[in-house]
Amino acid sequence: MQPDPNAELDLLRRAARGSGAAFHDLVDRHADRLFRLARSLTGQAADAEDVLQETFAGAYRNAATFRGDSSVGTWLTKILVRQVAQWRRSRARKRVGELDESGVVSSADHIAGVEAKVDLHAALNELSEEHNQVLVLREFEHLSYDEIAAVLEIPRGTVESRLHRARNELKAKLKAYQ
Amino acid sequence: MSCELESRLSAYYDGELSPAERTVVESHLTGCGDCREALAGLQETSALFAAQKPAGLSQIARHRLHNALDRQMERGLVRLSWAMSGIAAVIVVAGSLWLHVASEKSATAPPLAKNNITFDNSASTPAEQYYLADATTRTVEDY
Repeated sequence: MQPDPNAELDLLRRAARGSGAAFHDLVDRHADRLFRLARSLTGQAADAEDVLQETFAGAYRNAATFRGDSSVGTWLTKILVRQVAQWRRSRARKRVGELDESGVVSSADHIAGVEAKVDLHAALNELSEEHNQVLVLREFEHLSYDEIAAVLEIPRGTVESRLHRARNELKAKLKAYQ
Repeated sequence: MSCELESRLSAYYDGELSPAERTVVESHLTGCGDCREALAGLQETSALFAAQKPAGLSQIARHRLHNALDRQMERGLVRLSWAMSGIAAVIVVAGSLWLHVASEKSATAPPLAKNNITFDNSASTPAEQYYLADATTRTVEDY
Protein backbone atom coordinates (compact mmCIF):
# COMPACT_ATOMS: atom_id res chain seq x y z
CA MET A 1 0.00 0.00 0.00
CA GLN A 2 1.36 3.39 -0.94
CA PRO A 3 1.71 5.82 1.97
CA ASP A 4 -0.71 8.74 2.06
CA PRO A 5 1.53 11.86 1.78
CA ASN A 6 -1.05 14.16 3.38
CA ALA A 7 -1.65 11.84 6.32
CA GLU A 8 2.10 11.54 6.90
CA LEU A 9 2.57 15.29 6.64
CA ASP A 10 -0.18 15.73 9.21
CA LEU A 11 1.53 13.24 11.53
CA LEU A 12 4.83 15.08 11.20
CA ARG A 13 3.19 18.47 11.90
CA ARG A 14 1.53 17.04 15.01
CA ALA A 15 4.84 15.51 16.10
CA ALA A 16 6.47 18.94 15.65
CA ARG A 17 3.87 20.34 18.07
CA GLY A 18 4.88 17.71 20.62
CA SER A 19 2.55 14.77 19.90
CA GLY A 20 4.46 11.64 20.85
CA ALA A 21 1.62 9.44 19.58
CA ALA A 22 1.77 11.01 16.11
CA PHE A 23 5.52 10.57 16.02
CA HIS A 24 5.33 6.90 17.03
CA ASP A 25 2.73 6.35 14.32
CA LEU A 26 5.14 7.82 11.78
CA VAL A 27 7.94 5.63 13.14
CA ASP A 28 5.80 2.53 12.70
CA ARG A 29 5.01 3.44 9.10
CA HIS A 30 8.67 3.77 8.08
CA ALA A 31 10.69 1.70 10.57
CA ASP A 32 10.70 -1.51 8.56
CA ARG A 33 11.64 0.07 5.23
CA LEU A 34 14.31 2.29 6.78
CA PHE A 35 15.75 -0.57 8.80
CA ARG A 36 16.20 -2.66 5.63
CA LEU A 37 17.88 0.30 3.99
CA ALA A 38 20.15 0.88 6.99
CA ARG A 39 20.96 -2.83 7.12
CA SER A 40 21.93 -2.77 3.45
CA LEU A 41 24.04 0.36 3.81
CA THR A 42 25.82 -0.62 7.03
CA GLY A 43 25.96 -4.38 6.57
CA GLN A 44 25.20 -5.03 10.24
CA ALA A 45 21.85 -5.36 11.99
CA ALA A 46 23.11 -3.81 15.25
CA ASP A 47 24.61 -0.82 13.43
CA ALA A 48 21.43 -0.51 11.39
CA GLU A 49 19.40 -0.27 14.60
CA ASP A 50 21.66 2.49 15.94
CA VAL A 51 21.47 4.41 12.69
CA LEU A 52 17.69 3.97 12.58
CA GLN A 53 17.33 5.35 16.09
CA GLU A 54 19.52 8.36 15.28
CA THR A 55 17.50 8.91 12.11
CA PHE A 56 14.18 9.10 13.94
CA ALA A 57 15.67 11.15 16.77
CA GLY A 58 16.99 13.60 14.19
CA ALA A 59 13.63 13.66 12.44
CA TYR A 60 11.86 14.45 15.72
CA ARG A 61 14.29 17.27 16.53
CA ASN A 62 13.91 18.77 13.05
CA ALA A 63 10.21 18.06 12.45
CA ALA A 64 9.36 21.75 12.74
CA THR A 65 11.82 22.65 9.98
CA PHE A 66 10.36 20.24 7.37
CA ARG A 67 9.44 22.43 4.38
CA GLY A 68 7.51 19.83 2.41
CA ASP A 69 9.72 20.00 -0.68
CA SER A 70 9.63 16.19 -0.83
CA SER A 71 7.49 13.48 0.72
CA VAL A 72 8.02 12.65 4.41
CA GLY A 73 9.35 9.25 3.29
CA THR A 74 12.00 10.81 1.04
CA TRP A 75 12.92 13.26 3.81
CA LEU A 76 13.41 10.40 6.28
CA THR A 77 15.45 8.46 3.72
CA LYS A 78 17.66 11.51 3.23
CA ILE A 79 18.25 11.77 7.00
CA LEU A 80 19.07 8.07 7.18
CA VAL A 81 21.59 8.26 4.32
CA ARG A 82 23.30 11.17 6.12
CA GLN A 83 23.35 9.21 9.38
CA VAL A 84 24.95 6.26 7.61
CA ALA A 85 27.58 8.58 6.13
CA GLN A 86 28.32 9.85 9.64
CA TRP A 87 28.45 6.28 10.94
CA ARG A 88 30.93 5.35 8.20
CA ARG A 89 33.18 8.28 9.05
CA SER A 90 33.22 7.48 12.77
CA ARG A 91 33.84 3.79 12.00
CA ALA A 92 36.75 4.73 9.71
CA ARG A 93 38.27 6.92 12.46
CA LYS A 94 37.87 4.09 14.94
CA ARG A 95 39.57 1.63 12.58
CA VAL A 96 42.49 4.00 12.05
CA GLY A 97 42.79 4.21 15.83
CA GLU A 98 42.78 0.42 16.15
CA LEU A 99 45.48 0.10 13.48
CA ASP A 100 47.58 2.78 15.15
CA GLU A 101 47.45 0.90 18.43
CA SER A 102 48.15 -2.62 17.20
CA GLY A 103 49.89 -2.06 13.88
CA VAL A 104 47.91 -4.92 12.31
CA VAL A 105 44.43 -5.35 10.91
CA SER A 106 42.03 -6.70 13.56
CA SER A 107 40.80 -10.27 13.37
CA ALA A 108 37.27 -8.91 12.85
CA ASP A 109 38.43 -7.43 9.54
CA HIS A 110 39.92 -10.77 8.54
CA ILE A 111 36.67 -12.58 9.35
CA ALA A 112 34.71 -9.98 7.39
CA GLY A 113 36.97 -10.61 4.42
CA VAL A 114 36.27 -14.34 4.48
CA GLU A 115 32.51 -13.87 4.77
CA ALA A 116 32.55 -11.40 1.89
CA LYS A 117 33.15 -14.26 -0.52
CA VAL A 118 29.60 -15.44 -0.01
CA ASP A 119 27.85 -12.29 1.09
CA LEU A 120 26.51 -9.65 -1.26
CA HIS A 121 26.19 -7.25 1.68
CA ALA A 122 29.87 -7.53 2.46
CA ALA A 123 30.70 -6.92 -1.22
CA LEU A 124 28.47 -3.86 -1.13
CA ASN A 125 30.32 -2.57 1.90
CA GLU A 126 33.59 -2.81 0.03
CA LEU A 127 32.31 -0.35 -2.53
CA SER A 128 32.82 3.35 -2.12
CA GLU A 129 30.11 5.08 -0.13
CA GLU A 130 28.73 6.73 -3.29
CA HIS A 131 28.43 3.43 -5.15
CA ASN A 132 27.02 1.61 -2.16
CA GLN A 133 24.29 4.23 -1.66
CA VAL A 134 23.14 4.39 -5.26
CA LEU A 135 23.03 0.59 -5.69
CA VAL A 136 21.11 -0.02 -2.48
CA LEU A 137 18.60 2.73 -3.22
CA ARG A 138 17.98 1.29 -6.68
CA GLU A 139 18.19 -2.47 -6.18
CA PHE A 140 16.71 -2.84 -2.69
CA GLU A 141 14.50 0.23 -2.45
CA HIS A 142 13.55 0.35 -6.15
CA LEU A 143 13.65 4.14 -6.10
CA SER A 144 13.42 5.91 -9.45
CA TYR A 145 16.38 7.96 -10.67
CA ASP A 146 14.51 11.15 -9.74
CA GLU A 147 13.90 9.86 -6.21
CA ILE A 148 17.54 8.83 -5.82
CA ALA A 149 18.58 12.27 -7.06
CA ALA A 150 16.34 13.88 -4.42
CA VAL A 151 17.65 11.69 -1.59
CA LEU A 152 21.33 12.10 -2.48
CA GLU A 153 20.91 15.71 -3.63
CA ILE A 154 22.71 15.11 -6.92
CA PRO A 155 21.63 15.65 -10.57
CA ARG A 156 19.66 12.90 -12.30
CA GLY A 157 22.43 12.43 -14.88
CA THR A 158 24.90 11.78 -12.07
CA VAL A 159 22.60 9.06 -10.71
CA GLU A 160 22.69 7.31 -14.08
CA SER A 161 26.47 7.48 -14.52
CA ARG A 162 27.17 6.61 -10.88
CA LEU A 163 24.83 3.63 -10.99
CA HIS A 164 26.49 2.39 -14.16
CA ARG A 165 29.97 2.58 -12.57
CA ALA A 166 28.69 1.06 -9.30
CA ARG A 167 27.23 -1.96 -11.10
CA ASN A 168 30.46 -2.52 -12.97
CA GLU A 169 32.47 -2.30 -9.76
CA LEU A 170 30.16 -4.69 -7.92
CA LYS A 171 30.28 -7.14 -10.80
CA ALA A 172 34.08 -7.09 -10.72
CA LYS A 173 34.13 -7.68 -6.97
CA LEU A 174 31.66 -10.55 -7.12
CA LYS A 175 33.69 -12.12 -9.93
CA ALA A 176 36.85 -11.82 -7.85
CA TYR A 177 35.20 -13.76 -5.00
CA GLN A 178 34.27 -16.71 -7.22
CA MET B 1 33.83 -3.56 -23.32
CA SER B 2 34.12 -0.40 -25.40
CA CYS B 3 30.63 -0.09 -26.89
CA GLU B 4 29.44 3.52 -26.91
CA LEU B 5 25.93 2.60 -25.74
CA GLU B 6 27.12 0.43 -22.86
CA SER B 7 26.90 3.34 -20.42
CA ARG B 8 23.17 3.70 -21.20
CA LEU B 9 22.36 0.05 -20.52
CA SER B 10 21.76 0.59 -16.79
CA ALA B 11 19.21 3.32 -17.49
CA TYR B 12 17.62 1.14 -20.19
CA TYR B 13 17.41 -1.81 -17.83
CA ASP B 14 15.89 0.38 -15.09
CA GLY B 15 13.26 1.76 -17.47
CA GLU B 16 14.62 5.28 -17.11
CA LEU B 17 15.09 6.16 -20.80
CA SER B 18 12.70 8.13 -22.98
CA PRO B 19 10.78 6.14 -25.65
CA ALA B 20 13.10 7.52 -28.34
CA GLU B 21 16.20 6.51 -26.39
CA ARG B 22 14.77 3.06 -25.75
CA THR B 23 14.26 2.54 -29.45
CA VAL B 24 17.89 3.45 -30.15
CA VAL B 25 19.19 1.03 -27.48
CA GLU B 26 16.86 -1.77 -28.59
CA SER B 27 17.93 -1.56 -32.21
CA HIS B 28 21.56 -1.54 -31.04
CA LEU B 29 21.01 -4.63 -28.89
CA THR B 30 19.90 -6.69 -31.87
CA GLY B 31 23.35 -6.34 -33.40
CA CYS B 32 25.64 -6.18 -30.35
CA GLY B 33 26.43 -9.38 -28.48
CA ASP B 34 28.56 -7.60 -25.86
CA CYS B 35 25.69 -5.34 -24.85
CA ARG B 36 23.26 -8.29 -24.71
CA GLU B 37 25.70 -10.03 -22.41
CA ALA B 38 26.07 -6.91 -20.25
CA LEU B 39 22.27 -6.64 -20.02
CA ALA B 40 22.06 -10.26 -18.87
CA GLY B 41 24.69 -9.40 -16.23
CA LEU B 42 22.48 -6.61 -14.91
CA GLN B 43 19.58 -9.06 -14.57
CA GLU B 44 21.78 -11.51 -12.67
CA THR B 45 22.90 -8.82 -10.26
CA SER B 46 19.30 -7.76 -9.61
CA ALA B 47 18.37 -11.38 -8.95
CA LEU B 48 21.17 -11.52 -6.38
CA PHE B 49 19.78 -8.44 -4.64
CA ALA B 50 16.25 -9.84 -4.70
CA ALA B 51 17.46 -13.09 -3.13
CA GLN B 52 19.36 -11.32 -0.35
CA LYS B 53 16.91 -8.62 0.62
CA PRO B 54 17.58 -7.97 4.31
CA ALA B 55 14.99 -8.94 6.88
CA GLY B 56 12.78 -6.25 8.34
CA LEU B 57 12.78 -4.97 11.89
CA SER B 58 11.90 -7.64 14.43
CA GLN B 59 9.18 -7.00 17.02
CA ILE B 60 11.79 -6.85 19.78
CA ALA B 61 13.90 -4.36 17.84
CA ARG B 62 10.80 -2.29 17.08
CA HIS B 63 9.92 -2.21 20.78
CA ARG B 64 13.51 -1.23 21.61
CA LEU B 65 13.36 1.56 19.04
CA HIS B 66 10.13 3.03 20.45
CA ASN B 67 11.50 2.90 24.00
CA ALA B 68 14.75 4.58 22.99
CA LEU B 69 12.85 7.31 21.17
CA ASP B 70 10.59 7.84 24.19
CA ARG B 71 13.66 8.33 26.36
CA GLN B 72 15.13 10.79 23.86
CA MET B 73 11.87 12.75 23.70
CA GLU B 74 11.72 12.88 27.51
CA ARG B 75 15.31 14.08 27.68
CA GLY B 76 14.43 16.72 25.10
CA LEU B 77 11.51 17.89 27.24
CA VAL B 78 13.67 17.99 30.36
CA ARG B 79 16.30 20.00 28.49
CA LEU B 80 13.58 22.36 27.26
CA SER B 81 12.20 22.85 30.78
CA TRP B 82 15.73 23.51 32.07
CA ALA B 83 16.27 26.03 29.31
CA MET B 84 12.96 27.77 30.13
CA SER B 85 13.83 27.82 33.87
CA GLY B 86 17.24 29.26 33.01
CA ILE B 87 15.72 32.01 30.88
CA ALA B 88 13.19 32.83 33.63
CA ALA B 89 15.99 32.99 36.24
CA VAL B 90 18.04 35.34 34.05
CA ILE B 91 15.02 37.62 33.60
CA VAL B 92 14.35 37.72 37.36
CA VAL B 93 18.02 38.45 38.21
CA ALA B 94 18.32 41.09 35.48
CA GLY B 95 15.07 42.74 36.66
CA SER B 96 16.21 42.78 40.28
CA LEU B 97 19.57 44.28 39.33
CA TRP B 98 17.89 46.94 37.25
CA LEU B 99 15.54 47.88 40.09
CA HIS B 100 18.46 47.97 42.53
CA VAL B 101 20.57 50.22 40.28
CA ALA B 102 17.61 52.47 39.54
CA SER B 103 16.78 52.94 43.24
CA GLU B 104 20.45 53.69 44.06
CA LYS B 105 20.59 56.28 41.30
CA SER B 106 17.52 58.08 42.59
CA ALA B 107 18.97 58.11 46.18
CA THR B 108 22.26 59.75 45.10
CA ALA B 109 20.81 62.21 42.56
CA PRO B 110 21.43 66.02 43.19
CA PRO B 111 18.54 68.13 44.63
CA LEU B 112 15.96 69.19 42.14
CA ALA B 113 16.94 72.17 40.00
CA LYS B 114 13.96 74.27 41.21
CA ASN B 115 16.03 75.31 44.26
CA ASN B 116 18.68 76.78 42.04
CA ILE B 117 16.41 78.61 39.67
CA THR B 118 16.00 82.36 40.23
CA PHE B 119 13.64 84.52 38.30
CA ASP B 120 14.77 87.97 37.33
CA ASN B 121 11.73 90.21 37.70
CA SER B 122 13.65 93.42 37.40
CA ALA B 123 12.71 95.49 34.41
CA SER B 124 15.14 97.92 32.96
CA THR B 125 13.22 99.37 29.99
CA PRO B 126 9.75 100.97 29.93
CA ALA B 127 8.50 98.19 27.70
CA GLU B 128 9.69 95.54 30.12
CA GLN B 129 8.14 97.45 32.97
CA TYR B 130 4.85 97.49 31.07
CA TYR B 131 4.83 93.76 30.37
CA LEU B 132 5.93 92.84 33.86
CA ALA B 133 3.20 94.93 35.42
CA ASP B 134 0.37 92.92 36.96
CA ALA B 135 -1.75 91.80 34.08
CA THR B 136 -4.85 91.69 36.24
CA THR B 137 -4.82 95.44 36.50
CA ARG B 138 -5.12 95.86 32.75
CA THR B 139 -8.24 95.96 30.67
CA VAL B 140 -8.71 94.63 27.17
CA GLU B 141 -8.24 98.10 25.83
CA ASP B 142 -4.77 98.27 27.37
CA TYR B 143 -3.69 95.62 24.82
